[in-house]
Amino acid sequence: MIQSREALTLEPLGKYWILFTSEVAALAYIDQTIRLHDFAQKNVGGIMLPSTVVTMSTSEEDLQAALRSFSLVPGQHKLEMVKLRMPYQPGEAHMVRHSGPKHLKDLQPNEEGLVVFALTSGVATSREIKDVLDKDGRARNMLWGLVEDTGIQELNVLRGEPSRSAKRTVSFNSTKDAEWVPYTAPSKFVLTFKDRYEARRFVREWHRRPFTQPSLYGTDEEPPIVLAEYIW
Amino acid sequence: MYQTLQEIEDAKVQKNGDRGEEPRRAREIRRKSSNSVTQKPFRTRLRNDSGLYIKHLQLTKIASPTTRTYSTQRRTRDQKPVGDGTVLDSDHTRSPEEDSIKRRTNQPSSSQPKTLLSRKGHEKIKAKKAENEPSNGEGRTQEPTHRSPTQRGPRDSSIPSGHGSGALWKSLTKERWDASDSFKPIGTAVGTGDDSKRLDGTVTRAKSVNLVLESVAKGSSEEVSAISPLQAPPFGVPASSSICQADPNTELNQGTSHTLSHRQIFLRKYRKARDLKKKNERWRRAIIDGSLHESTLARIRSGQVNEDILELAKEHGIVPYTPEELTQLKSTDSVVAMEGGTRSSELDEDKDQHGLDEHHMQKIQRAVSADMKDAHEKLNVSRQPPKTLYEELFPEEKEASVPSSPQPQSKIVIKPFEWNKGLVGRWDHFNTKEGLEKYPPVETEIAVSGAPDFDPYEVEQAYQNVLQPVAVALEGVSPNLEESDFFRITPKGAHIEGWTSGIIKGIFQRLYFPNKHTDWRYSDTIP
Repeated sequence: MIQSREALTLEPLGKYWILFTSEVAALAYIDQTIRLHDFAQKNVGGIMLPSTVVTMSTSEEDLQAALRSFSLVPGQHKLEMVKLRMPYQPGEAHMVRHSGPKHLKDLQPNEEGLVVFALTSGVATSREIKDVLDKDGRARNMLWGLVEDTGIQELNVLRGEPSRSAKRTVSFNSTKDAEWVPYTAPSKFVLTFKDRYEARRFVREWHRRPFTQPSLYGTDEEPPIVLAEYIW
Repeated sequence: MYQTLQEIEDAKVQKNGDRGEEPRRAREIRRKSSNSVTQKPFRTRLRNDSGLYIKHLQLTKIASPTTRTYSTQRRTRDQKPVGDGTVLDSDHTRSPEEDSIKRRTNQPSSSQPKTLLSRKGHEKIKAKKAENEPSNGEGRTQEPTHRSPTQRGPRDSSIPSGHGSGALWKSLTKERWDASDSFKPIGTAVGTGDDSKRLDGTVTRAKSVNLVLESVAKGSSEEVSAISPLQAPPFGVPASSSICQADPNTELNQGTSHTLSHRQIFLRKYRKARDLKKKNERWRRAIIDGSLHESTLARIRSGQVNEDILELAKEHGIVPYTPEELTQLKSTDSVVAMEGGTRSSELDEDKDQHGLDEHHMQKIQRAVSADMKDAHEKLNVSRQPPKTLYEELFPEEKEASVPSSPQPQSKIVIKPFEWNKGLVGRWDHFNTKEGLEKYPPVETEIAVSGAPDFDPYEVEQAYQNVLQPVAVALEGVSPNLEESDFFRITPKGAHIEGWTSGIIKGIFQRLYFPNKHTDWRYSDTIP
């Protein structure tokens, strides 16, 4: 399973790729999803229709459990689930080629957990982020297990609408570029942890937490909020 | 009505009228038929009067003195089948009605069936025909009536059931032939036409399949027609000619007695080898223990034992005889003779156990050796084939029909089922330099279809795509789903243990393709 994200901002797009080892498994999964969605459609109000019981041919408790567990698509929404067919688009082809068992096995040592560390406002450097995380780790009595070299990587956002709250600007040498007002979005980092569980722990700790770095906000402003998201 | 393939081919050739360009098959058949004294087995397509075709009724000429034969054809007056020494037909049992029919049809009266014997025997029969009038058929109670396929009418010949003396024949044919009143077997329509094209009259109704095959394996060269048992005529079909049973008074029992089956031969060999092994073991133990009997010791010293036993004896200090001693022993006609050596030594060994004196032992020894001699003689006699008419006529042909040693059965080697043939290893040459030059790897995906222009590289791509995972896209859902949301609803196979959903845990990769030709809808958003 791969969650699709925007390539530059790593923003989730609400699209998912589910990779299966075989076509049979894929079709079975699609079939199951369609049946569950059909069942959820008919039981939006919590009223179970007798026809669904017949189609599912299971007990009522199982049906209720299945309905509760089906959280992919709400019942009132349309289910769009298709199997990709060849020829693939280049991106799809790359995904399919490099997601096979062989490639996954090659990538086994690369088991670090990735976390998108975004600020609602303000621009910070990776050094500042590291200082804050180390301080928090000392307070926690255990430093966050970040990968040493590439633990904190900044996402270079070079497009989008200019932000009014941008305090720092990128200076350009040429006068031609100086006419174009550069834009800096709020800072966004990708934190790489040595362990996936550590990454999840970090997300649980740091999501929606104010980033109290005095250089990021003014005296009359509220501190920016950290949006931490685990990338699976 | 065509009786044989040969006639059919002949008719075709005549129909074409082009003799110069007649098909090769027809030419071959013609050549064969011209000089075919010993006809090879061939297939005939036969038709009976009801218009039904008997397909591929294979008439195989198999000869053996052990096979029961019976005739499928109407014989002429002078016909003297000699195949296994039995004569199935005789003059005094022929009805005058048949004779008249034969005269009407004006069939050439061949003196004997041509396929019955080899060329040599055939000529000899011609030569000796006058002086050797077979006197068989006297003990027959019923003479089967041979009919031509064109002949119709009520059947006057009931096939006798249980008539023969052979238990095998009885057991095999009893059920079928017991209902001989209602049974109307299909005849083989080989009796019509001229006699030179006929098959042989004696046909082994190979209920005794083993006997037939056995005789083939032993290389007997006589020829008797045999119908394959798998192609036995079905019941209820109106017959055109009758299949007649053989004379039950033939030497069936003798034939079976002198032929050793493979099992018998194997058992004899096995027992012989087993006894020899036991004996060697006993001797070896005696050598080691030092309790070797004199006769055995003499046998060992004279070198009439196994090599390993000889070596063992040398290790234990038993010296072989010198040539002088050997000559002395031979002159004195020692107990250690070539023939009775083992028997006497064994008896001598037994003597110690039973505590008999020498006089008694010599008596016993003499008696036993005499018995053994008789038994050997009996065995040799019983191994000899019985005196048949054929052997009486041609004693020099007897050697050819002596059953040789059974041929070693071919070892059956079962090929392993190549389940991955054509898939694995077929495209290995792509990894070579030449293969890469011929089919350079391309980056784009190739849509594989059943195109007539077959490209192996495309097939390879298809094969690799099969091994690749299958992707399913789910759109229009919440961006904040978790992994467990997907895993939770996977269908579980209740009946297969360890059956999983088959979902692959993908690994996040940040990719983008800064190319104007790439589709940003997918490439930009792929993590």
